[in-house]
Order: sequence, then C-alpha cells, then structure tokens
Amino acid sequence: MEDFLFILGITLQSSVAVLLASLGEIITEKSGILNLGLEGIMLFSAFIGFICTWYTQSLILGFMGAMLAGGLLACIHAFFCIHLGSDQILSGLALTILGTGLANFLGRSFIGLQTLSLASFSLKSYYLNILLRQLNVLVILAFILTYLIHFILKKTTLGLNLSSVGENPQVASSVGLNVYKYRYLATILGGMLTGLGGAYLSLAYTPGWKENMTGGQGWIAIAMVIFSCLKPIRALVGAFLFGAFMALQFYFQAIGKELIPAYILKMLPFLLPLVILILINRKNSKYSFPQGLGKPFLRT
Amino acid sequence: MQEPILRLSNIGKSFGDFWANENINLDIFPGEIHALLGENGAGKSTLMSIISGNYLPDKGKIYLKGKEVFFRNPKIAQDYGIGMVHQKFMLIDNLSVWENIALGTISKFTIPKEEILNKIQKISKESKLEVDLHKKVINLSEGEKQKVEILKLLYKQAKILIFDEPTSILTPQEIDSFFEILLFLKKRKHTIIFITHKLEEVFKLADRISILRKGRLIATFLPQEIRSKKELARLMVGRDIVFKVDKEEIQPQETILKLENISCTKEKQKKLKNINLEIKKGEIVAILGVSGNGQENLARVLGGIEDFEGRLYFQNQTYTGHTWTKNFPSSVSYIPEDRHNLGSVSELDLEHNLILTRLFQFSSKWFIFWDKIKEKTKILLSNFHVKAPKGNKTLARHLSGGNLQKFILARELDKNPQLIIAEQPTQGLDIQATEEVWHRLLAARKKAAILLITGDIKEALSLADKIAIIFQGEIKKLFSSQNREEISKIGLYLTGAI
Repeated sequence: MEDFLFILGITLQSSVAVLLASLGEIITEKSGILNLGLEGIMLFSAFIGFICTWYTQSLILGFMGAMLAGGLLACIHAFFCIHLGSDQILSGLALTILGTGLANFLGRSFIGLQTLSLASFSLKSYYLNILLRQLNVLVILAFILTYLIHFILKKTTLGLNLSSVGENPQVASSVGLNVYKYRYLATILGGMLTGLGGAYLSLAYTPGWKENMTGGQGWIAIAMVIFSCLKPIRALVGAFLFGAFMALQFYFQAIGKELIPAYILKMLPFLLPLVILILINRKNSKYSFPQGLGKPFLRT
Repeated sequence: MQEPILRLSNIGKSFGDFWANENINLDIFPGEIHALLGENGAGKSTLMSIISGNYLPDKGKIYLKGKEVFFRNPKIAQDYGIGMVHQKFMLIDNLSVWENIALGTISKFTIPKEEILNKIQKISKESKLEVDLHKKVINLSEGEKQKVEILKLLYKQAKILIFDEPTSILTPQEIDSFFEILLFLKKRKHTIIFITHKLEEVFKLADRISILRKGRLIATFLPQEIRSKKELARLMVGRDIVFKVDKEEIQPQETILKLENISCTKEKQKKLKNINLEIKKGEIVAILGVSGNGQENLARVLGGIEDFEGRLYFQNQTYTGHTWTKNFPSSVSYIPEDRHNLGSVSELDLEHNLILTRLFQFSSKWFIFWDKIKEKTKILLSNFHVKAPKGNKTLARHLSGGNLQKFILARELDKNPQLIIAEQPTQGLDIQATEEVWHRLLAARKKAAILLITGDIKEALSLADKIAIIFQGEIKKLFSSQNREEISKIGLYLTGAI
C-alpha cells in the first residue's frame, strides 16, 4: 500500500511538466500551427523562472516570468510562421536550438544553485501524506486546466473558431474570422503553458537550475500530442504513462535492487511511451489533425 | 420599372495587364433569377467575386438599393445580405453540417447548440433543404454539400444569392432538385444570380440573361427576346473571324493511333464514355469541348497518366490501360495544359527540364552525358526563340508562360515523336507566341500525327483537319474542318443544344 501510494504520487508529480507542455501544443496545433520548439521553450522558461525567483524571492513572479518567457519565444515562432509563412518545422527546430542554447549559456554561473521551491501539501494522516507530500498546487492546477481546455475546445465558440481556423483558414477567413489573430493567440498561449511546465521543473519538481534539466521532456510532450490526437484527456493519459515509468524508475532505485541496470531504467520513461505510441496510434491519427496544420495562410 | 437592388456601374478589374472585366454596367432587380452566360475566361467568375467581396474592383462603383457600398471582404458583403456559393465549396470537411452553417455567427461564449439547431431546422423545413445536421461534411455528396452552402447563406439572411456554375458537379437528379430550390427561393423574394454556360438551364430558369464575352458585357436580354438556343450560342461565342494560317496540304498517311471504346471512370463518375477515334500521320485532329466535358481526362489518359478501359492501338501494337501507362512509348509526346507543374519542374534549370522526357537519349546505363545535353539545350533555345534570361541555367519558373511553352514544345518536337498530344497549347499565350506555337505544330505534322485538345474554336478551325466535339465524356460529332455547314453549328454542339 505504501509502495503503491509512493509510486502514484511520483507518477502524478512527474507527469505535470509534460502535461502542461502537451496542453499548450494542443492549443497551438488546433489553430494550424505546428510548434516543435517545445524543448527550447521549456528549458528557457525553466531558467527564467529560476532566475526571477532567485532575484525577487517570489515564486509567483518566478512562474509569471517563466510564462512570459515562454509566450515571448512562441511569439517569435508565430511571427515567422504566420506573417512570413516560413516552414514551421524549421522554425520550431530553430526555436529549440535558440531556447536551449540561450538557457544553458545564461545559466552557466547558476548551475547547481537552488532557490525557493513550491511547497507540497501536508496532512496529519500518514497514508494520505505519502501521496500528498509528493503533490503541490500546480499538480492540481494542471488537472483542472486539462478539463478546462477540453471544455473550451469542445463546447465553446472560441474552440469552434479555433479549430475552423486550423482546418481550413480560407473558409474561416471567408466567414469573417481573423485567422491571424486566432493563430497568434493560440501559439502564444501554447508557449505560455509550455513555459509554466518548464518552470514547474525548476521551481517544484527538481528545484534549482541544472544544465539541460528538461532532459527531452519537450520532445516527449510532442509525442504525447501525437498520441492524444489533440484531445486533452488523452494527453493526460499519455502524460501519466510517462510519469508512471518515471516513478517505476525511482521506485527500483529506491528499493535498491539491481534487477535491471540503472541506465536501462533511466531510458524507460522515454522509450516505452514511444513504443506504445507507435503501436496504438497507427490507424486513426491521420484524420484527427487539422487539415491546415503546418501550412501557411497568407491573406490575399 | 422598379428600383434595381444591385447596380454595377463601370466595373473594371485587371490582373496585371489583363483586364478580366471592363466597363461593366449591370442592374439586378429584386426577386429575379438572373443568368450570367459566357465562355470560359469571359470574366463571369471575376465579376461575381467582385459582387461577393472576394475582389475589390479597380474601377467603377457598386450600389446596393441606391447607396454606394464597398465590399472590402466577403464578410462585409455578407452583412449586406449578399452571399455566394463558389464552384469549389467553402466548407470545412471535419466539422459537422450545423457547425459549418453557424460558423462565424455565434457571439456567445458557449455554443448554444439547441438554439442553433432549432433555427437551422426551421429554415431547412421551410425551404425544403433537408440535410442531416450532425453528419460531418466530408461524408456528404456534392448535392448535399450544395444544400449546406445554401442553408449557410439563408442562415445568414442573405437576400442576394450568387451561384458559380452550380450544376457542373451535380448528377441529373440533383440538378432537378436544385432547380426546384431556386424557384422556391425566388418565390420567397430572394434575388438569384447564377453563372453558367449551359443553354437549357438559362431558358428553363432565367428571368433575364446577361452575356459576357472577353470581359465585356455584350447585352442583357429577356428570354423571349432570344428566338433560339442557336442565337444565344452565337451571342456567347461571338462571330470571330477565323485567323488565316498558311496550311499546306498534306496527304494523310498510315494510321498511327486508334482508340477503341476508351472509357474512364473517376470517383464513380464516368468521365469518358466509349471514345473511338483514329489519327493518321500528317493529320491534326482537334478534340473540341467546353472544359469539364472529359477532354482533360482524355489528355491524361493518352498522356499515360490515367488508367482507362478499352483498347488502344499505337504503331501496330495493342495496349490496354495498364500496359499503356506502364510501358508508355517514348515516341509519344505529351504537351500538357499545366505547363508549370506537369510539363516542367519549376525549380530545375532548363538542362534538367530537357531530359525530363528524354533521358534515354542522353545516357548510357551508368552515365548521363551532360555536355550533349548542354549543347542540345543551347540549340533548342535559339532555334525556338526561347527568351531565357540566364540561358541554359535559367530555372523553369523564371520563364514566362509563352517562353516555357515554346521550350516544352521544342523539347517534345525535337524528340521526333510519332504522336503528339497537345493539350490547350496556346492557353494564356499572347498572339505572337500563339502563332509561333501554331506554326510549329503545323510543321510537325509532316512527321507525326497530332491530337489537339482545345477549348478554343479558332484554334481548332485554324489547325485541325478534323474536328471532334466532346460533350459529357462522349464524342458527339466528328467532321472535317472544311465542312461549312457543321462549322456554323459548333456553338450548338459545344453547349449540347443539339
């Protein structure tokens, strides 16, 4: 029972960053923009979140700074893809290189330092505490956001307009929707959520600044978006999957049994979700992505 | 007489040097069905795009109920109650019917689904446009999609409805029900403008008929003022004088190509029905038709791109659809209509474009002889007067349309083909380039059989020895280009009037 709660706690805790970034990317892709720069945005925001907290000693300002940084990087991507009609894959990859490079360069003198970190819950009950002390307010917020985005995409005018802009910008434009506005909004909002995910890493999950501390979670998030077919609830499942393998790895390390070599264990959270993705996802993914995804739209 | 609901005054629209519309004055009266008639490229669609806000006119003014209006985008035209159903439907495949209809009109934060559905259902009951509102558009037939488009306009309370060739993609049954819808809309005091080149539709439906030719409005008539389809056809096609092209007499020789019962089905529609045709060496046979009647498919079939049923004899060999596309003989030259995408590779230079169809002449098993290619390209460019800014190294996309066509012609004619399939070879070219292409083709027939696929009557009459009229995938008539009596009826044949 204790073991189970321990694993569950770490699973939830480990899935948050990937979940937030996936949600961001879902919103962005719904509008027809493909942003492969998640890894760069995440790492850069993780650093900005850390540095803001370091200087202001305020977690709130740290998270806000991170979201702002994420939004700003996404804004660059948006400008290139929306206004200049650049290749979105190329622009996204450039963003990854820019974000990671900038974060690692600026963060050289902060490596290994720690600042404030988000407090976990605590309760008197022993069993609940095993679970709860792994969790914090951001974990709960991420789950609420998942449902909220699900609701917005499914039930609101905003969601309908957003998906029409992604599916067929010509038609959307002809009924009077401002394609540029929706695409900017979605890309920047997506960047901000990804930025929040990045800050979660440096301010809550593994507090402090380390070089390349995202460790590929941005790429995992993109994989989860493909798995999700742009449905937030499915993205949640995907993020849990990643978190569960993360937790198993910690669990085996914690109990100290050398059943499986440590390197293979460390690899599992990244390898197994991908394998599962490939197996699950072959059939129906083609029709669940917007037809306008990745294609530039220039007003005539 | 009553006030016109829509008045166009001196409308002009140019694309580059080309005036698609010039000095157009047109009054549309409330509650009428107004037919806009004209050949391909006469400027009908451009004019309608101006009325519906897709293009801004370069000259002239638009008055709605006597007040001047500016339609900067389709949304503004919609707000004034003008809606257009495009030939290519403006619907989002992955959304449901009701979402498509309501898109862009919902102002609440959450979608009031029940309210919208009730409103659409009311409209669709009244106007007898019944479609399953929950189906995704991708699963609808073309006829159903058209109904959705009309519902979309009615939902937005459009009073003036414009249709761009509404019947071209419909089945005959769908056409009948579409006509009923139009008459019903008229009864409900909607104003309807529709573009067409089918004459019977005009007589069946229209209250007034306007004819466009070469971007100009020829006249507006009441149906009873026009005595026959024949007269209408003549007005539409115009009495252009046939260009005199020096055409030396050549005695046709042996048969090169023979088509036997060629049929072609695409997306469950018969595009070609039992085509039989024979072409001899030294002969130009023109396939003449209004676009969309199967000549595109015939060109693709003979060009080895599309599969077909039936048999084809070429130089004493028998081919089926499978063997023709697979072992396409190198002695056939296909000059496609789409010279930018099918006839050339726009990002490659002219040397590379030369060997697209002729690599076998310039290579051994392992090597490509670039020096020979270089030399050949140079010779062809100067012989055919192709203006290429960077010579051999010019990218295909940097050639103007006329020069690119001359280059493709040079490539294909120099191959010494036995059969040339020329599809719309002078479309979009100016007079000088057109004449040059014509002379080249006439000279080429000494050594080859030529199949000319065209929509241009003048071109067919100038070049061809025989003319075959294609209508709805069938060859309706085959006659000699010397037969004056048949030539006078071409307009009627083309529009299916007889």
